Amino acid sequence: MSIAGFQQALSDLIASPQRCLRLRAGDQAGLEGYELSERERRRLAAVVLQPGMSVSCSIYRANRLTPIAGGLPCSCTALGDALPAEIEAFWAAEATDMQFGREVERFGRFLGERLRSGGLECRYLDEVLSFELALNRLRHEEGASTVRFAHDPVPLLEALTEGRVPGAVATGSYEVVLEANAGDIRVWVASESGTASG
Amino acid sequence: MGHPESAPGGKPLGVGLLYNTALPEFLAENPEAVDYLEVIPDTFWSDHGASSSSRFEEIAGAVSDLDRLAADHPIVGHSIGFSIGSAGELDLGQLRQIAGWQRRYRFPWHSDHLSFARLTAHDGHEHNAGLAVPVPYDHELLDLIAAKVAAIQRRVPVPFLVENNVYFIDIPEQEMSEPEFLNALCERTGCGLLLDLHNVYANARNHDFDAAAFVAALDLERVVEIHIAGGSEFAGMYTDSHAGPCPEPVWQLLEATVPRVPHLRGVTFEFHESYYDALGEDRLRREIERARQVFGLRGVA
Repeated sequence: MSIAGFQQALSDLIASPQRCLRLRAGDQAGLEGYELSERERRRLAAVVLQPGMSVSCSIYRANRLTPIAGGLPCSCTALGDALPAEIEAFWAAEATDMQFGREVERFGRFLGERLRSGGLECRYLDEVLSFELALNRLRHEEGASTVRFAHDPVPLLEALTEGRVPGAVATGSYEVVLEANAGDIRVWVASESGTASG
Repeated sequence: MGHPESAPGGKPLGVGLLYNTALPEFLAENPEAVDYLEVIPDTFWSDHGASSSSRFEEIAGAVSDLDRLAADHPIVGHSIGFSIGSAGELDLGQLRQIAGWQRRYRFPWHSDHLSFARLTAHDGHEHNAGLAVPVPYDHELLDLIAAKVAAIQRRVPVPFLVENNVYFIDIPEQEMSEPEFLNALCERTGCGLLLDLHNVYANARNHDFDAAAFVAALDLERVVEIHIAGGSEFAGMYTDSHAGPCPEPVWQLLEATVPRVPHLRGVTFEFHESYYDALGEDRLRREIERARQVFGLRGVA
């Protein structure tokens, strides 16, 4: 069905500024694989030249990034300059689904796998990511969760919440409990055995 | 075809707000401020996909907040999930879910946008286009969308409205203008129009046409609800970001349009919760009051 092919091609262009630039330069190869009429090809070739296509691409990326930035703010801060590349790799690796809100969980899993495989090294990310994923789950369901930290969670999370990665935080073994009840989420440090600043 | 006003419960409601997470605080201080609330039902649940046995999982805290507000305010549904412009079949699971919420909250009418967001890959996986993407105003699309609107109307027993979209790209070689397309869709299906005047204003600014002439080309007999909102500049274009107060040209459009809309039932002000602190409680009350004064002019021309 041609309408389906046109909508898929247009959406793929909106999702990929690189694809738009190639088509803008006259490279029609990016439209191969779509079932398109000649008029639909002309339409796509015309819209990639318009300023509105750049705006559409930017709004698409803002719409996808907003739930991740809102749901994993400290993890994004911890990632620092590595964030754009990790986001790009995640978007390239995984198709969207109908609700971007679930991308918080999926991006968290993606980062966890990157850390475990050694493809990504990022100080504090493992523990902060576990904390924020637990917090997000409890926003949707009542219950409790315990997250282990290898760094003192209080100064660590305070600094990341302020948008900065702390230089040195006391290391040790810490357990942070999160508990959701009647719409409220309580968070406290249940046990700690600090050793030194690391 | 049934006219929107001929459906049950066709009384005007007045002035409403699009629900956002800042509103419980505002309404706690201003319980009589609005005549109704409009909600985006899709934001109150997680959709686990058509293949899931328990597809729609409601977000308990959000639904509890809505239940409290619904005890004191009429609730109007404003969907983003029908994606009536998408190729392929209407999502019947989404339709059943919205029909259930219409019964539960007694929406006097409900609506969605003239655009598409849902895409279905060859393997059946559904994904999101990331924004409300415009459809070309062609006869083939008119047939496709009219069939979906008719299916929605058969299942949900209150008027269904289609909202004019905001768009940033101009698709060339279209067979109809946007007003011609909207008028034809309304004529063929009997659906109503949700006339978003801020979208008209944004499109007119970005694509250099006369907003008043656009409104004049619409069949205003079909308009049941009007949206007003604020926006912002982004990358050289004006967007429908719902950023704060309604700009003066949109108020002027509203004042010129409302007297010519005989079946208007509501004017809804939309703002994003992230702009609530900047907008402020007093300014929000003034925006609502101004909208209420204009609403009083309905159908007098």
